[in-house]
Amino acid sequence: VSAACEVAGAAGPGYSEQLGWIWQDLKTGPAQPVRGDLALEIIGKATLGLDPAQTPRWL
Amino acid sequence: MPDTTGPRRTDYCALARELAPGFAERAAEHDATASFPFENIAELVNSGYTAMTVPKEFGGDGASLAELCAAQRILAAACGSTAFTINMHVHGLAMIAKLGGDSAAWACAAVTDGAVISGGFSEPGVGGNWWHPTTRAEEKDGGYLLNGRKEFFTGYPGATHLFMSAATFDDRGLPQPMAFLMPKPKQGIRVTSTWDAAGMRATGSHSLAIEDLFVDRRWAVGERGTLPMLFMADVHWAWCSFASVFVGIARGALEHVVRTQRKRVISVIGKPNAHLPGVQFRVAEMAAKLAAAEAHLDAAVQADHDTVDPLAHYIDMSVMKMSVTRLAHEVVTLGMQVQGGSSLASVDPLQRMYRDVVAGLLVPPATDVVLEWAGKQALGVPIFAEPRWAGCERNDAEDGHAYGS
Repeated sequence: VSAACEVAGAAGPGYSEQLGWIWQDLKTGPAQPVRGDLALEIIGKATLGLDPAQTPRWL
Repeated sequence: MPDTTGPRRTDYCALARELAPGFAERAAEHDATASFPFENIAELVNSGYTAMTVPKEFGGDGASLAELCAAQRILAAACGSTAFTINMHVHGLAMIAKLGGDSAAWACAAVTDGAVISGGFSEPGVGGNWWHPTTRAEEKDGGYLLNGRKEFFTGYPGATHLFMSAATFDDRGLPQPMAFLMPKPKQGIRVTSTWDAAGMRATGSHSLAIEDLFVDRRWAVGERGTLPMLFMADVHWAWCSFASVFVGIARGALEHVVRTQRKRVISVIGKPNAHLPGVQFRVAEMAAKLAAAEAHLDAAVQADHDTVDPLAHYIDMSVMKMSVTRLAHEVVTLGMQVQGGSSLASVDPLQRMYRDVVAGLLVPPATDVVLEWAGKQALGVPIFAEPRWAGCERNDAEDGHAYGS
């Protein structure tokens, strides 16, 4: 969508508006569960053979 | 020669897992000296690995594309060069066998007896436009006289047979690309430059001059001018297997980084590096990118290859190869950052993987051509219209916009 916005940049307000709505909808994606940082923590620990549920979570 | 004393092996992933430790052990030495891994190729021949794609109708096991790619990923994690070299053989034979006829029959018989095929379709000045070979084939005395140059002839030192493209020219001067599979000739081919490169150093990807090489008519594969269509229809064997090598390198890099970070203890925390949040987050990024690469590759391997439009199929497979090799490259690059400065030392195999995985971005299909074809297809612009790029200036002058207006 980011590339589409660049390509459509000079194409006039009609195109830009539609892409703008899609762009805004997409931006809500990372806010849905699982949040990015938590996902990375779980994936990273699991890949490294550590228990993601272990506490304390950090050092 | 293949070992025929025991039962024939058909589990090629298990075979790859057995051979991989030896390949991994020898990889550093071959990389350091750019020597060709003859002993690895011999093991692949002796074990029956090189015959995996001989179809059942020609007396083989007819390994599927999925089996081939899975096995190649295992070999590539151990030694990218060996995997990429033998990839030319296993996928090349699959494509030749699919054509059927005399070429398929004798090629499969030769490979069953231990032949190793090396392929040469890259040429200087062609720039990834492989359907325009500049090596000329002129009809002569029941065969063809070939003249031209080849680059990146991967596996040349260890090959018993060569698979290469050339073009005859019709009465309008237009090229009719065709392919030849021949026993490695004793004359007519000169190595102009031995392979000495930053990555994939043990592939023997020499540059060659083809000089008045006479090729008997019986070594022609397919009809004149049919090479592009034949190649496009079966291109999944090529681009999926290429991608599998680089995905395999990325998987090998992730596993190596995980092993190291679990062992290496950092004194300020008194625990292995694996407990550092930064290491965990970067390893997670590696795992996520690798999962995306493997999923795209697997989808392409499992896709419908038979009832699809050949051009759309070619573009789908090419886009997959481009995306997957980019991800594989990112995985290994992240691995270098996790591992730190020690990963640059020659004793760490990660630096070899880092140099090898770059080749994924550079091997066919050429990224610029992939982007051109995929972009034109998405925009409904004819892909094969000539001239390929003209027209923008006139459109600009007429309405103030280029394509897309």
